[in-house]
Amino acid sequence: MSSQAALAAQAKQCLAKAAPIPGAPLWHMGWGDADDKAVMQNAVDYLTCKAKAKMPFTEDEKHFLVEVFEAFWWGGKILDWIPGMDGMPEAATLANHYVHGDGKTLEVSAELYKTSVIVRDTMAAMKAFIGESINKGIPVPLLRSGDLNFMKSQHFAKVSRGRGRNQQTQGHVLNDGALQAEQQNLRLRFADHRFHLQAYSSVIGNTPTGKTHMHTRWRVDSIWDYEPFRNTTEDAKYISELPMGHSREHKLVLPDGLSQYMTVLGIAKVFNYWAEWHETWDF
Amino acid sequence: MRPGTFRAIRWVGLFTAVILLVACGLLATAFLRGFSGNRCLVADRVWVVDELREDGQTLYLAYRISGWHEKVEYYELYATLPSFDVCGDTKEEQLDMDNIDDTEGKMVKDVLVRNTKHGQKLEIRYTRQADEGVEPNQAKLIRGDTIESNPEDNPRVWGDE
Repeated sequence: MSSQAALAAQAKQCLAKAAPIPGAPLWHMGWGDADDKAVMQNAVDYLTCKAKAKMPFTEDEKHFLVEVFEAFWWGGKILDWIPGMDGMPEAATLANHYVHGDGKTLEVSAELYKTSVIVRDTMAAMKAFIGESINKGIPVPLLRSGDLNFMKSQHFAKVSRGRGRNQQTQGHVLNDGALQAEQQNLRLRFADHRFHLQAYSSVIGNTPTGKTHMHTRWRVDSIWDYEPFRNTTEDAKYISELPMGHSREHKLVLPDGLSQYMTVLGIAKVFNYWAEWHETWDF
Repeated sequence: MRPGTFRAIRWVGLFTAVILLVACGLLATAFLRGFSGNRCLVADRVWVVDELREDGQTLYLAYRISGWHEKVEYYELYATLPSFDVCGDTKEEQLDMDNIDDTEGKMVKDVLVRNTKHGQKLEIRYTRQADEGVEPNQAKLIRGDTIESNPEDNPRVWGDE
């Protein structure tokens, strides 16, 4: 059977099990009892089937998916407003930007990164490498966490994977130089799980005590996208489960491939986001 | 303007305001009810995939998929059977954890647990041989030799040797 014929057959199967599209997904996500879960999951399963068959969506179906992402925005913001909860304002903003940002580059708060243990530790390691290089007469105007010379240095070893760092509380730097957020840091984990750190540095002068005075502009560039359906066992890995309601019993199972298909439908756009902060320091 | 018109506008405005207030109240109730009980936006997915019984003790290997638009997979080691809440959190003490590195075509072969001076440590063994690799949720927990150093200090890729 040709791939076109296979898709047509798949499309026919999807239409045979069509489910109604609920008109108020925000309400169902918030209330989250068994009936809400069933209504939402049936709709998502039906749309997943249609996406896998590369079928067009109706306006109602598109609107439904956009509202599911708007529910993320509400979820992230409300967690931020409730005292004692881990706020996720950046993740909320990023989710909303996916469906309303028109693909424009977005600046996120530097606090997201500056408060992270792995970012702070990697900044310290990179500064030690920059200082050591300058002492050897080698200026380092730009250093990336994935630069080979840095990764071969003793400073990198302190933050690298497998050096006894606690992944729950400290995070680590992977073999490609990407920083992996400490798992307890939900705010960072949901906004940016893995990212590279860049340091743009310049010598300002010398301090009265004879130290070198430096200025560094720190920057993170990331991309917000989702894995497409591959129609392999890998698809089972790329699923997001969204807790519904207060009962803690029900979760909406949302395949990442469906989130990615929203870009094909023109109701979401992949975008870049970044953060920058400045630091002056001596060595 | 006729005398009754202003009164009519006022009543329509009041009615609209009441409807809006009720709608906002219902929405706020739903949202607060919905999200205040959960500390996660997206739940981790986690399963206990294997156990190792030895000397009257059982060790449990859990497999976790974490994250939202970028997923990271982990193995975790527990001395007691963990139960996980809606967010994938557990109250059981975790002995060790390590994330799966699936770059460069590496596949999980199995997971060793070793006694080290830092306690029980996981060591994920990888392969590039398709017939040796397993799905991460089907990995077996195997007792490895006791070593002095942290096994992750010298990660190895089976099939490279």
